[in-house]
Amino acid sequence: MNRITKIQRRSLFGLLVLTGIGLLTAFTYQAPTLQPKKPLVVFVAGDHEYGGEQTLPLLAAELEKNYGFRVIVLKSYPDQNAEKDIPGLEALRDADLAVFFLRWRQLPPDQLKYIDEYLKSGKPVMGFRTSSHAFNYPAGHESEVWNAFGERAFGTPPGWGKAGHTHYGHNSTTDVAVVEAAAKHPVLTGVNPKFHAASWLYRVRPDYPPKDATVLLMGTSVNPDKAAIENPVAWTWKNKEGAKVFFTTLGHPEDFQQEGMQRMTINAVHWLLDKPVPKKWKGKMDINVPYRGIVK
Amino acid sequence: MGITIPKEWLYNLEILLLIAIANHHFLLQKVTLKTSTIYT
Repeated sequence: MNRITKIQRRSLFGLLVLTGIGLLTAFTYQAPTLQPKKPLVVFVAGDHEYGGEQTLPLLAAELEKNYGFRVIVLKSYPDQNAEKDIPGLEALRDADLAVFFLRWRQLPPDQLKYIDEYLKSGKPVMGFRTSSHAFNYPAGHESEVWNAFGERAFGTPPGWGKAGHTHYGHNSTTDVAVVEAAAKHPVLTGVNPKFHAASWLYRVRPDYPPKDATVLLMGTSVNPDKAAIENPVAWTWKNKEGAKVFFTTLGHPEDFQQEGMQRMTINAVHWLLDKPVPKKWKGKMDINVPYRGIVK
Repeated sequence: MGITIPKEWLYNLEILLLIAIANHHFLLQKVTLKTSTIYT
């Protein structure tokens, strides 16, 4: 009787140990959960003047390395002056955010269709400087309507020289200041209240950006070549296709050396994707791209 | 036996010449814009 009891006790102890291990495993084991897919940011670069094909990849690399985004950078082919070919635009079909730095392109309809599809999707868009005049089709061309891409996508004037869209000379620079009413906007987190930009100020007033845009930064021209007025240099907006928009008329490569410009750009990517802006700034990026101007 | 051109014709030729010059100027501007040598 005692022997049986001993065996039973051992069995019971063994059972308890096994149950304990089971329970411990159940509480400590984490079933593999499906990680949400990292957002994809597609950069589209092609400008003759400002080296966007060099600055955008540096921003993209930072977003991938330190902020957990997937990125694709598309460039004019074979160089920045090539106006009629940006290979790979079909990547926009998978994009969660499209960032444009374009200038006077003349893309063929089979490439434009990807941009058109993207805009119609209502997914967010971001634009730098010359993207206000991203396209330059001659009068009567079947794609002439794309000359107003900036107006449609970002709320800029509908092309260079349109609605008074001009600048204040290549020997001028811009004093940039945060608009007080917008100082708490997430995109401006950590951005200096005032900084100096190498970009010559773009005139977009009086009709742009649209009245329902939120102006974040204002610019004052320094050493202008004509009578100058203050102009918005960065704003957010919701365009007519329902997309969240961030646009800045800054984009001179030296602007990207400014920490304020860097933070604003990284913040804007997060804000456009409905993500909280980074609590911790991962540090200033080493962006040293010289201004090239127009080189044939 | 020389050819005589009426004065009115000369006036018309002058107008045509001016139109040609204006067109040429306009075309040059278009070409400049097309090749994007304007800094913006």
